[in-house]
Amino acid sequence: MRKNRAVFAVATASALIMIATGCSSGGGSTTTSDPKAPLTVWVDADRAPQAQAYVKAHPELKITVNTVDAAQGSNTSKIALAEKAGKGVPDVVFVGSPDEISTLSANPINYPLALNGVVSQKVLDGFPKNTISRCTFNGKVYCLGNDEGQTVLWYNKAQFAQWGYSVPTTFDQFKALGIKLAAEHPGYNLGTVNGRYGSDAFFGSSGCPVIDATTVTSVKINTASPKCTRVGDVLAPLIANGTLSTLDLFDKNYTAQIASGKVIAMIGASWTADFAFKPMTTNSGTSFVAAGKYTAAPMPTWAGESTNWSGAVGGGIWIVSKTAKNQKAAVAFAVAMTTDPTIAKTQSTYPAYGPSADIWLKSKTSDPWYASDPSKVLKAASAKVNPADGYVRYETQLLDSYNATIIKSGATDMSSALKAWGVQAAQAAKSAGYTVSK
Amino acid sequence: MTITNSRVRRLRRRTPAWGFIAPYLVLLVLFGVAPAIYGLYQAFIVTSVVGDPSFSLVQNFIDVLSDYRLPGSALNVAVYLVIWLPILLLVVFTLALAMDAKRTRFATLTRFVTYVPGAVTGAAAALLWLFMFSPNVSPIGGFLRLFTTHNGSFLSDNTFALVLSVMGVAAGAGGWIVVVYGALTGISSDVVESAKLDGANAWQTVWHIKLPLIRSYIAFILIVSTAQGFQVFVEPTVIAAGAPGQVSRTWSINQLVYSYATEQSNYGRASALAILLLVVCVALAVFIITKTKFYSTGDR
Repeated sequence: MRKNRAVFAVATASALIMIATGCSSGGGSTTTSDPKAPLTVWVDADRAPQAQAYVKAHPELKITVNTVDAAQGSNTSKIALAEKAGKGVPDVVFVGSPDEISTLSANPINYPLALNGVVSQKVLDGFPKNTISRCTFNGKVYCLGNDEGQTVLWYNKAQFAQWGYSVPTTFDQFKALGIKLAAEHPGYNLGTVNGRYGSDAFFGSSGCPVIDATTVTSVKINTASPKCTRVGDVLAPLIANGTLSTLDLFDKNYTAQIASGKVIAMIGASWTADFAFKPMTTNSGTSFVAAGKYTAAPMPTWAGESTNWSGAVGGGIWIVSKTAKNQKAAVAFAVAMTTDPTIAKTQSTYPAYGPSADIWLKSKTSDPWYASDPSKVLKAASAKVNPADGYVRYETQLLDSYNATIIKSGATDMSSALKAWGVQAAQAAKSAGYTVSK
Repeated sequence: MTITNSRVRRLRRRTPAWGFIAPYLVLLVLFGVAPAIYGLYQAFIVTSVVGDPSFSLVQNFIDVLSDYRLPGSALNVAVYLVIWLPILLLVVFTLALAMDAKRTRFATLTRFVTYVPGAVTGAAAALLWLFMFSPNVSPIGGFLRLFTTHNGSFLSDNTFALVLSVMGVAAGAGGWIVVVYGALTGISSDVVESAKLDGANAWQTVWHIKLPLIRSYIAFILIVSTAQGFQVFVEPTVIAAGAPGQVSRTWSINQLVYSYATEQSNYGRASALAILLLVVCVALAVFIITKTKFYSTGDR
């Protein structure tokens, strides 16, 4: 009897261990392509129409399009679990927070397929250099840019004309404008600097080394660099006088300000007009009419720079799984999503692929919502995203510590906030497996 | 012959018991014990960016204990516990004792009313309180505006512990009031009556008679609530979403565990921190049990 019980216990325990550990094996890579194998594609809601259009155009392929949660980190954690389980791994995925590629391409996930050789060099050459270089790890390209979040200076042209303000071309002028605006028209502002809207748009365009990854395991971080302190010099007085908000762009307290016309300018991504200004002024029910008022101006130039670098806020990417059974079709799908001229027209954001961007911009040229044609400014900014920006595995922690230091302090002591940010960034980078140098 | 009989009898006595336990046991093993064992195993597996995972008894623990976010998260949770637990206990015992002292219809109604907020739990409660603490839509918006930060947001790292405490008391007190009230009604009326005859006033009856008699309930509430407080996760996650960029994504220790597992895909560190959290909670539980003589059946 006792013996039986012992045998039973051992059997149960070993069964449990098998259940628990059995899942971690499997998930080997396949190199052969099976043209009949079905495809599973994960997209966010904004990308679903273009994926569905492709499915309709290719009835010979069995493609399942799953619309998944687009929140930062969501895709990575789901793919990590699928890889661990050895099944349910998507063949192609759209990721809205492009920094996730750095986590997806590292241990323990190792999800993406290297695209060199499977995607023609001609296609790769059609993307702006910076989007390709950000997707490159250990000399291999692991993602294709869907859209770009290059920053420009969005501004209310009508309001600027009415108040006699000129568009700043340097950040010193931008700072002077903020001081003037606070004195003459309190309550109005020049955008927001919370999270990525400050870290990526301002510090990113300045080339402040916080996400300057040189290899997959080394990164340069130095917030004492003049490229960081000059940003602090502009931000501090403007946060203090309220002309730069510290609320998130989509915080309802801030969207209320957009809806009432209080935001007269913003250093913002290419998608800012379509996703922040347009919807919030159309559905607000307030008397403020944004149509015909806003347009894009070139990024102002940072003090000491010879050109006006742009930052990048967002910009989605497509990634192909290295375990895709029908590799050929999976790669073709990702290439079509980024380069197909018909799909380019249906894109909701500025396409990363050059020829697609040209097609997409045509619709902006004649869009009466803009005070003037923004297309030339957007195109120029696309080529000028600061190369010091990269995709790193600690992006989420970096933005969280940016908010905990620079934003939380309310810019009362910018130099110590910058220092604290640098310390936390270095710790986050080390924790993510990077060696940090200055 | 007699041996066989007693064996059969024992077997017969035990079978229904196992029958009752079995369904729970299956679930416990599948979703409790097995994942816990797997978690323990994972805590010793170190994931490196380059190369294969390796085995180390201490590396993941060192990594999580030296994480720059841990002191902040631990402090947040500590402040939350210090605010929330005493208020919870005070509210629960004051109301339960008052209801017990005056067993009127009003008391029954109060017991019901205090229980209602507890019916809305987890994410739904967090969402409800998110509205309560958003100055623009809250019925007490004008009051909240007195405490907003420089950018007009009420929710911030500074106010968060207080917000969660208010929410925790409102949602959790009702259930405990019912439990404590039940315990109080279980006290023999002879004991209370003889205390009165001896000249004890209401306060003395509570302090020297009633509270010592329900001591194990106090211990139970403390153990469960401390563990619950240490593991606070859903509320800060949902409420922080209402103020994007204003509250840390790793405000609580459990959110830090979640960050390791999802944002960083580092299951080893996630498991290590979860185990450390478990150790702290068990240690506190043992401390409370010994201090309150929770399991002693003798002199009460």
